[in-house]
Amino acid sequence: MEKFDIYITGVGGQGIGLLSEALLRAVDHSGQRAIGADTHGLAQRGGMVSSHLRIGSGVNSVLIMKHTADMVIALERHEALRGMVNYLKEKGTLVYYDTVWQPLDVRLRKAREIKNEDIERESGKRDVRVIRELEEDLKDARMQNVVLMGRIACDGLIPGVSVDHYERSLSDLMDGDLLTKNLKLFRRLSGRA
Amino acid sequence: MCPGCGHRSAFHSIKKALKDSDITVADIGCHTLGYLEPYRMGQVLLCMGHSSGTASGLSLFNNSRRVVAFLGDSTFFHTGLPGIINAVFNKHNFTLIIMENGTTAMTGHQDHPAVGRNFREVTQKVPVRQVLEGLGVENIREVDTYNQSKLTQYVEEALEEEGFKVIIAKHPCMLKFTRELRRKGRPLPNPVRVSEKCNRKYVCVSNFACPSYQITDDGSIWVQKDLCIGDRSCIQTCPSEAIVPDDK
Repeated sequence: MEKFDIYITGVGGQGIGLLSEALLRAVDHSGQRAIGADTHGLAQRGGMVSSHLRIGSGVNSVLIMKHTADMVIALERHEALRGMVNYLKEKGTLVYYDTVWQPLDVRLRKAREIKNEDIERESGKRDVRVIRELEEDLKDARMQNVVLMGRIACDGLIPGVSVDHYERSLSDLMDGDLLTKNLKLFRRLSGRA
Repeated sequence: MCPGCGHRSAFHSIKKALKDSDITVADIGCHTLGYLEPYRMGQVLLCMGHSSGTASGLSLFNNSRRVVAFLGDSTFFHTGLPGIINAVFNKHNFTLIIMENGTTAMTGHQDHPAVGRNFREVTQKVPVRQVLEGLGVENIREVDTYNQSKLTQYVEEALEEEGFKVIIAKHPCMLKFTRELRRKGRPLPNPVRVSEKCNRKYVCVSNFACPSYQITDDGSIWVQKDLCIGDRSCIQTCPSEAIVPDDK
């Protein structure tokens, strides 16, 4: 495959680092070439965090140029809008977890909270497919990233990567009870329970 | 800054003691984030360890605008010492507030000399206060930043004094603290919630500005439980006493 670019975003602390590492490894397990870049440190302290993941033989730089990402994965609603508007190409796919961690301007009452209707409207302008996820009963918020991973696996959103590949990458990164818990959640969502 | 961050309590308190004309000098670390809204603590920033030196320069021939410098405990050891020695040696007139959170937070919680261990073994502790005393600093105050009224009082007092004053504003990094609690499988305290006593003064969300506080379209405030770590440092900030632990 020439290229498939994924821009992953959210607020520091949501597990974007783990998610992007897991996706990178899943792509690697599928035999495809993958390169990427993470954010650490400063961004974590309540700021926006993003990772770039680029798949395919035709990519050289690890950074995705604006408006060219094939897919944007977001762990929070505001960052989903930001990611889509800045990085997603026309006709691209937006997958987002619909939790709200309001950015500073909203909390300082300088801007209003973004609603799902805003995302619908902006996606319409760009002919973007929107996949919205929310697990109301999720006990541990830190597992929201695995919910998204399950959905991505279930719908086969990353070309060439199967459910097996995702499971193997989770096993690479976790063990013991942590792995068991996350695999259980992943399997429920990926359709292989 | 993270939910529960001791620096938030510190800046919230310190700001109350300052006049608009006072000058704040930031250094490098998580505390640098105090320069952002709504705290705006840190108008000048250069490099690691510069704050004492820059503050010293800004204080010269300056009788109207009081100068306050910030310094993290890691940067204190890294490059902060010469500036402090200079302040003692040349009898400079400013207040240095050392933000002691017991780690090198911004870059991933690396240890520093006051922690008592390095990446592989236990080490001899080099306590911040002891170093200051050893360098000849005489005017030292120390307080837990969660004790916000005390910190405000200390800053007010120090600003009225002549010479080089140091305040150690101490509280452990809460990101590190909660990570360790979780690693040990210990539960976090219950988060807080906003009660009916809320009069929409918005101190919690817009002045103290802990990211756990969210605002709805109709102007009511709620606490995002995924973010709140139950530190309770916000409770004292509410003028209506409307913040309470969530018992559910």
